[in-house]
Amino acid sequence: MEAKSTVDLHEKTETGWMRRIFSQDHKVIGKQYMITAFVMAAIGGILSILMRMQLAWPGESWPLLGRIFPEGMPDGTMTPEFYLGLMTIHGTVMAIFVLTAVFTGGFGNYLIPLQIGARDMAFPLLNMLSYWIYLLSCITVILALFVQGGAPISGWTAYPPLSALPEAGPGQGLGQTVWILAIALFIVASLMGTLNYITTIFTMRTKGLNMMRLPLNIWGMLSSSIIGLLTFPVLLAAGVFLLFDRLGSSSFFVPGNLVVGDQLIAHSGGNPLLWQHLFWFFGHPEVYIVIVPAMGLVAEVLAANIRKPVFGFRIIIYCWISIVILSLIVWGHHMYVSGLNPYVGGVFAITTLLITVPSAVFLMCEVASLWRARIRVNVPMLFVLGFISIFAIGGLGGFFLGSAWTDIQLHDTYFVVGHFHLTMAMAPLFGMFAATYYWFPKMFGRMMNMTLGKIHFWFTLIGSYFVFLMMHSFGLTGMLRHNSDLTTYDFVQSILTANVTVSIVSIILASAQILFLFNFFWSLFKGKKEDGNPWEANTLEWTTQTPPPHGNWKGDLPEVHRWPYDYGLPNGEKDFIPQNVGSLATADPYGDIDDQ
Amino acid sequence: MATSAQHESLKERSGDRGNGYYGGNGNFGGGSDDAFPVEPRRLGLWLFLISVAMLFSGLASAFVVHRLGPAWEAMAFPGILWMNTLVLLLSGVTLELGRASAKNGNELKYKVFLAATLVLGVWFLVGQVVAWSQLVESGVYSSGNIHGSFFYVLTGVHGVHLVSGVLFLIVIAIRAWLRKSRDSNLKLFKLFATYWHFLAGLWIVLVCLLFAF
Repeated sequence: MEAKSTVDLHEKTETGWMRRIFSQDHKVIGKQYMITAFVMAAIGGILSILMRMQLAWPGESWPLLGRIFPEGMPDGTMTPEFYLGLMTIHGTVMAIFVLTAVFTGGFGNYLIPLQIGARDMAFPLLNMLSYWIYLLSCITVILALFVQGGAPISGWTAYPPLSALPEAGPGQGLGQTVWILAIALFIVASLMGTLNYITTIFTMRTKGLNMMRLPLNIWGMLSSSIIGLLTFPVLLAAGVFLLFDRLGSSSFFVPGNLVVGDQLIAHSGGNPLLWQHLFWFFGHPEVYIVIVPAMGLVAEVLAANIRKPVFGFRIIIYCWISIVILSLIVWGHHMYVSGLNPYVGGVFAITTLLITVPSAVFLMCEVASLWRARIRVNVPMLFVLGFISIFAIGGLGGFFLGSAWTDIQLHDTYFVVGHFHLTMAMAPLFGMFAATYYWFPKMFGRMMNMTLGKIHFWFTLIGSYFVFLMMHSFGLTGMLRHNSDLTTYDFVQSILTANVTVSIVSIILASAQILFLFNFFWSLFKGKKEDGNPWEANTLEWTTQTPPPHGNWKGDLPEVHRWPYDYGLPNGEKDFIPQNVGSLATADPYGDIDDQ
Repeated sequence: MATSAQHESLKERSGDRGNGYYGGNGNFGGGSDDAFPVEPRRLGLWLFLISVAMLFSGLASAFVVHRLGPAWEAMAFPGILWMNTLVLLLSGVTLELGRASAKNGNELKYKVFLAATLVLGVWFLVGQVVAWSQLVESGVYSSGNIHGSFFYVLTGVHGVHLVSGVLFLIVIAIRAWLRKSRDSNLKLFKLFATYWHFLAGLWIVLVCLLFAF
């Protein structure tokens, strides 16, 4: 069949709002994912502020909120169950609906075809469907806050028997069922996505782009997708069992002899620990599903701003491959005090300490990349430096949690909360911010305001460190998780003032994000126009026009002749050699001029 | 829809050439030694099958935990499953006979064997529903007996996937009857065959797990 001219491809621009909204163009879908994730993040952030308000000022009455949530906040004061409901939806929204979606769904969708020199994803229709199912899942999970009984109170971890028994608490009826449905929908959307990204990366690379010439960003997306493909189905299995226990009266997870209120529950023979195994078999790899693409995005922004090759390109790839494998055998470190066999716990402690190695090596490669570099300190680079700092510091706390013997003291305290907020919330968010400021000109043809960006950066960095490092200290003092009023415990009296300060700073931290959102949306219309390669970067997305047309390149697809990290090499007046340029020498230690 | 027309032209430009080597130009045509040796849709199918395998691994591992636990009470083997299993395996045979007919260019036989596979697939599903209703009549529900609960969950999840397989088969059959391009029909048929054999193999594993473990 004759190949049609490339011209008619972008002459058939999508007209009509239906075609634009249900577009199968990966760039549109990527932006849809991003914006939806931003909205979900705003919602999740508001929920966390409500939680912090309760923690600082328990028993306080907020009449306006009482009007929005009359069931959970009668007279404007928060019931303990309502607090737990907020906590559940906050955690679920942030971990699953924001972080898991924004990196692969948002940036992955946008960048993968562009960076591998393809016209679109391998399965554009599947891609479009995955977004709309994702959106449906987002709406469903928010719905859980507003159904009768309110949101579930069992946390994003949904441990049975609490999550399996509708009579066990407010929100455990309809709310928990709606929550399970939202997760199931998300899993379907996510699996559709990961299938697409893996297939596209393997089969649709342009000529000359072998695997070892792929940008680190693509390796990050690939690694994350592989983990997701393997582990999300296990969460789905767990969800099916939980749904059966709830609606079909089975006893997969619910043991016998349980009494709720004064009623004996008609289940027996179930195993609550089984849920924890199934959940955490997904739940630990989930954190790597989030952090590895963030690491990949950060590596690209880093590379362009150090004007020299990233240190340890292949080492980083091997680190991520080992993370993929190791992440599947560490899940028990979430279960040290659950009743798990302590010898088994010891094995998990060993594998957990092992997995710190590739993460640490990755950070060391980043730091080594900075060594003697001509660092360009722009706003994306600030967030890269912030990422390295926060992930390193947050990661250090992991040694105490990953070791079973110290975890006994720290489990279910705010030490854990501080740890995962630094490593899983703030570090990935810094990666997301770096990526947004960096690729905004490519996506929208304008720059974001850099003054606002700097203010956003400093408030976010200082705010994050204050709030979440303090939480490590609170945890050591004994402040417990999942508790809406700690003022009555004598062992936390010494930190009550600091607790209030943390709440105030967290409100400032959240407000700084409003700056980012304002900057993002304002710059869409009023940002300084930029349709070139403002960061002087090597990867293929910068070789096409801005914004890229349907089919990504007007003419033929580019051919690749080198790896993406030829920075600091002479190229006429430039100091960088884009991937599609042939004939010049390369700094790739495994590259060969004869390859080009 | 302009969008899908656009992507049709994308695919045409990419050249669904079926020369066995894909990648290279990002057009998945034109062999290059950088190319990935599997066609995108086949790779997509295998990735999907991996995710389905992981789903059933999660379900099966839970089964093993309960099977080896203290509260296990075995249920009787529903006799109708012999017939259902035979029917499903037979559908795999008719599928392969259809593949051979297509290869030999015998359009009529290909359509006949496709129809036979469809009939057998639906027969299997009906048989499963009968098995379920027989169990309910004899007092085995999703509650009460953990073996029964697992039976319903495992066969139910398998059944849902088999329904999707039957829908896939209906699409293949419609395309065969509409005489669309033979080559692209054959490629889609091969993908379907892989899925169907996977589901049949999975069924054998599930039956052995449930009753022979």
